[in-house]
Amino acid sequence: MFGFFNKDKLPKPLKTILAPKKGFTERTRVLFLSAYKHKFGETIPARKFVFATKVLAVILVAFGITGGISVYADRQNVGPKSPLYPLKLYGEVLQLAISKKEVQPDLHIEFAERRLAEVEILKNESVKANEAQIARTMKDFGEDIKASLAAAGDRDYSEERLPKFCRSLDELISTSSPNVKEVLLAQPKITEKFHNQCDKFLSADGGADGSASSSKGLDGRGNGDGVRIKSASSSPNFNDKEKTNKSDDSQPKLDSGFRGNTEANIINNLMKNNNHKEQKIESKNKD
Amino acid sequence: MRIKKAAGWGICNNTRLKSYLFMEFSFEIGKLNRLACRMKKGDSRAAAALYDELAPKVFGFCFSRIRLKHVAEDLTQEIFVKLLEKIDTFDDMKGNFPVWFWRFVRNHLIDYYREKKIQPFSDFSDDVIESASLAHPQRAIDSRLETDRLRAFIGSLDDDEQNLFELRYVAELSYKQIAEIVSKSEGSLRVAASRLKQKIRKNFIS
Repeated sequence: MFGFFNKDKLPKPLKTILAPKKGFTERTRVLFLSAYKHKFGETIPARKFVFATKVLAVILVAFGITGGISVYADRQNVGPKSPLYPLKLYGEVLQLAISKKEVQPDLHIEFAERRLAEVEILKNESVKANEAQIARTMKDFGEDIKASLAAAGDRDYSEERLPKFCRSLDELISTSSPNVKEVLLAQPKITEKFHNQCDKFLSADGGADGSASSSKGLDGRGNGDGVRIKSASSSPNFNDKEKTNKSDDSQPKLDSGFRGNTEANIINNLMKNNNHKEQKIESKNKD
Repeated sequence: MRIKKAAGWGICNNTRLKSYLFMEFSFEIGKLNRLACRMKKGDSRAAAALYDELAPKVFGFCFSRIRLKHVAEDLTQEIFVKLLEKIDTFDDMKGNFPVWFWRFVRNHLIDYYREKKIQPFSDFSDDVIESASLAHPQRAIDSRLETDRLRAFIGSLDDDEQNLFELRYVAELSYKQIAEIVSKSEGSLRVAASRLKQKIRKNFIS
């Protein structure tokens, strides 16, 4: 019965006796609070603001930290194996979100270029575990190409700029390393859209002068001209030779009838590309 | 609508800092101190929470002393109205809120006795006991017997013991806080409390 005293708590019956009636406590509560308001005035519950401020502060800090790290990852151009890589991609998405529509296709190309560079790094490592990573990166690359074409096909993007855009995209694909080209050959769908939209310009360039970048091959094979990747659904305007080579096969074809490029030419292109990248890095370092 | 300065970041930091510095990890004390600080700054929600926390205990305290229900209710109301007047004088750096509050309640009761010259009744009113035990008749009889013994016992306590009973069991203060209020050492209070417990056992078991 008096075990409660060991705990220094009142027994229930006594607690009930000593408890006030509910009506009384509620009545007194109203009186007390009205007297309180009379003295202190109507107040806004401070706790709400404190909580809201804290939540806002946490969100801002989280954004700040994430943004800072993503900028760092972007500057360092971290590889796909880095734990900061998702933040780099996140930073790219943000960059695209805040950039003007006119700039977006170029940004997409820049990011596609990054993806190719990453694939090259992964390929060079020749580790089996990299295959999944390469597939993912190539998927991102494909999405970048697709998005860049979609953005370029937008009405805001002037027709004058579209051929230029196509040429730079072609340059990017054609000057990529043999490793990357191998991956591209294995996944023809990635470049399919590019051909659909850009072939008319590239073939026109090719017709005008033989030194157009579109003539550069993808894998350096073929009869002295380099090889161009082409899917079955490629535009019929691609070029005359393409028409002759067209078949129902959905596998990528090696279009070897282009202007007189050789493997040496491709290597030159690659070297040019590398020099260009080095120059970019040097200028960045100078900045 | 008049907007008071929001009790936001930094409010009651003194209380919080003090509780960390002096290792006062008692959740209840910290909670009451913070509520009091916020109430002092004009936060009506804190005032309401403080009332909900303290009102039943204040009523129990007054009722066990006066043993007249309506007087205990009046006194409870008076105490809370007076709390509004006095809350500005509470300094969280000088002492903790429960000690300050229950000292204030005791003083109010002493003032009441001095003014009214009313002697406490030696019994609880029957309607309270009946209302507490209507639902279960058997339990009601047991409860009645127990309560009869208990109220006779409380009536037989001297002032110090009654103080201890009220502060320890009704107000639910710690020995340290009671020691501050009644100006006695914590050890002597513990001894007195154990004697009180023995007295209760002897009274009720025999």
